[in-house]
Amino acid sequence: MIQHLVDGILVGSFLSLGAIGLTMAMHILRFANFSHAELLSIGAYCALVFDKVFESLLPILAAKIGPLSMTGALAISIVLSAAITGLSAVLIDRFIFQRVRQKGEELSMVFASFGMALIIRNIIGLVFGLSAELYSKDIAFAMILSRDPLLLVKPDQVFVLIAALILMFALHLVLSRTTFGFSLRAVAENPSLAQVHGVNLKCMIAAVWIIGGGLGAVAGIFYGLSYQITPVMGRDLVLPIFAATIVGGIGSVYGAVLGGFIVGIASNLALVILPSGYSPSVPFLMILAVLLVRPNGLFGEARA
Amino acid sequence: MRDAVLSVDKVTAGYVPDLPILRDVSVTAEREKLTVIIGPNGAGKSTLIKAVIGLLPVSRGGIRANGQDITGLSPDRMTSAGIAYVPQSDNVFRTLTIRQNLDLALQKHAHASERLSELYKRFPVLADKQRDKAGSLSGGQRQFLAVAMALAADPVLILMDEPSAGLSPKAAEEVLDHAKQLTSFGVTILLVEQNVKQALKRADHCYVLAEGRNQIDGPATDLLQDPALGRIYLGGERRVPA
Amino acid sequence: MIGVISYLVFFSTIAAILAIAVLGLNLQWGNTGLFNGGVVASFGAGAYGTLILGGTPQDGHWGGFELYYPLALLGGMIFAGVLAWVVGKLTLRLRHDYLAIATFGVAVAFENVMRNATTVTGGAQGIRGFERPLQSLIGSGFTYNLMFLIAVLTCLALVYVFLERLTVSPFGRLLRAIREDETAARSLGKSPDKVRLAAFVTGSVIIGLAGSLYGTFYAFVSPQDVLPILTFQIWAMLIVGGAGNNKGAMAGAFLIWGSWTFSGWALSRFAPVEVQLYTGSIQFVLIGMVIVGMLLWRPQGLFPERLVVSQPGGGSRGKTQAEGLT
Repeated sequence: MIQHLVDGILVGSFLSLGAIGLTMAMHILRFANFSHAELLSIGAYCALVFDKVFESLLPILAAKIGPLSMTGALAISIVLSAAITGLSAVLIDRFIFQRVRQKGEELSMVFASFGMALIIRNIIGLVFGLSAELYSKDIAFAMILSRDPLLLVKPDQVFVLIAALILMFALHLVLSRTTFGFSLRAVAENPSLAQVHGVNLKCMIAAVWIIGGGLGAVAGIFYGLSYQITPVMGRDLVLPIFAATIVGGIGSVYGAVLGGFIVGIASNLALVILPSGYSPSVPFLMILAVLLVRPNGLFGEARA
Repeated sequence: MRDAVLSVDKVTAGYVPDLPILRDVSVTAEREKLTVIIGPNGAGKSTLIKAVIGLLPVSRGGIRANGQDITGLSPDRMTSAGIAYVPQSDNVFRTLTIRQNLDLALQKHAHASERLSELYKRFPVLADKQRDKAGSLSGGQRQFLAVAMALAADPVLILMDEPSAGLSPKAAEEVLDHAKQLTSFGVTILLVEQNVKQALKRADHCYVLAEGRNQIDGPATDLLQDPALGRIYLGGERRVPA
Repeated sequence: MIGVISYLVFFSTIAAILAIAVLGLNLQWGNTGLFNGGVVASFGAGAYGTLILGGTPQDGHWGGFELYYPLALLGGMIFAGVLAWVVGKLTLRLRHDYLAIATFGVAVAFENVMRNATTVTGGAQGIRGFERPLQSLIGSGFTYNLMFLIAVLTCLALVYVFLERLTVSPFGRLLRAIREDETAARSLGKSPDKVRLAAFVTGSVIIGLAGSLYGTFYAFVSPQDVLPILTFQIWAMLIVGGAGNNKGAMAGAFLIWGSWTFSGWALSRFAPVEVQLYTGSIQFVLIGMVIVGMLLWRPQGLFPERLVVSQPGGGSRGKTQAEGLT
């Protein structure tokens, strides 16, 4: 059971990263973006491409860093991929979601996001093929943290957890200490008041997409490092990430972080009692539970 | 010839283009004077302020402020144009601390830290509670924070929407006194009020709106004595669409 | 010649079944403004419910109650209704996208459970052993298929008439009132949440009926029949046809189903062998593009709603008017 707990924390690290972007978009832009999880796929595949390119250009970058599967090439690829995914998110919003919103209503964007998810996921499949990919073909050996109870952890997973926590802490610093962070929070609380005090709404919205896309890309890459990269990773992560935002409360970044870990841990602990085939249903059960007990989640506030 | 810092010229505006709330409204705010807009409920007073600050579309007419045509200017450009706004409610960011609220309002200021010290001197209660979340303040304290945030960008003109709303009589008087004081510091104020007597006691000039149109206007002292004022409020004598 | 007619009968049966589902969705979205992100769950509930209740006992799964067919049909529809009631009760009073997420979650969980609860549902093998109604009388062949098509078309006509009557009934007026000005409706003592729940459940029951007919037609249902793509297909049908318009919805069903089967046939016939593995992906991209494209180009659909206005001069301006008075 301790193994499940540890696995759950590790899963939670990338669920949290994915959920942060989604919760901000859902709160500020007021739409449930069913294509958000595809940003994780875009990020993972982008990094795959860059990784291979850099490795072939500069073989020195192919050297692994320590016990990790992480290479110099992959490290650079993560940064580039985050930037590109953030940019894609802005473009998709500008050319699709905003236009749909103008012609229809808020719920039309939810439709459009379903459609975009289908398109993105299957284009990835068409371009990269349907089989799974890995960042490194070498087998990563698990470290034995303890023998009784048996506790195995891969170095990559530890890296993912630590890196995710560092990223979240950095975001926390931005939100609590920079005027940019205050502007973001101001827009989340009261967009017209924010404008009145000089905040450019369009810029902030673009920033929300860039941050969401960037964090999503990193989440996707971390998922790929922990498991594998497939075209359906977005589809498989949609519900857990939504569950994380609902558990934490829509609009709360800290809620998304906590929610991600809660969903990750619960999904893995559930494996103690449920057969593993049922794990996709656990996020749904959690959503039901939250809606029954505390619909606004841990830190959410109802906004009109 | 009055020196108009703000002139609203025959403006027609509303939340939805084909449903105007204001019709052909004209208002002028003279430099370093306190101009007040009063009128019965539904008169369109708040709508006028929102139209000036750009939160509402203007379908006809023009608005000039500080020498610039600001008709249709987006609200986030207003502070650079020297215009600040204190809304009636939800006028501070409750999830941010006082300090964070002020930092946000000061972000484009060239000498932000000096300005912050000045604001703290003028509003010492804000300095004491600067690490508290704005949501934990009393109504009167929040109002002062909202005014401080408006002052942050060194505005030439401040628009205030019912600053005394929801406040105790004493706090209401403090806020209105403070608004009057600001004019002696060189700021022009245009304020909307429900509290007619308190507003007219301090105002220089006053406009009365009803049903989205100008009714009467004049020096505040004259209007205090004018019986037409009561009749407008009670629905008797009103200008009707031609 | 018989082959072509036989195929057309088969095609029309499926299209008509899907049209029933689209009509149910139209009640939820077009009339009530509710986003059902898990249409396939209601559909599947109908199919599994009917087959479990009406089938013969089998080793692989639960059920086999061999109920008289109309009861089995009703049972499936009730199952769909109950599922919808639970989800609706929890989410309808919250912001509108909670319903979208919850219904999506129901669909994911539904497929997951059907696939894994092998003793109850047969798991990946599905529910077998169902004997189609009157099959012993008519045998299975062209005649039976034709009879079945006629039965389905009758159901479709009944549902259509029911929904059209509903639109002009007091309940329909109530739905419109809530959509146009909720505050006013509330002040008259009407509970918008109860009304929306009723509309949501009714829509899901209709979708369940479609699922039941689908399961009956194939005499078989498995997790492969309740995949998310079905939700997208039915949504595309509604978006293309025109939300709020029942005739448009039915037209959309036939159009999209036709395009889907045609594209599937064209791809398998003309695409090179290496691409065959990807025909599914290509179809999915196409349907995604149809959805997004319609929303960008003509969100009201090909056959837009003929606006039924309860009061002249009313409409959605009601809400902003209330905001505008100071």
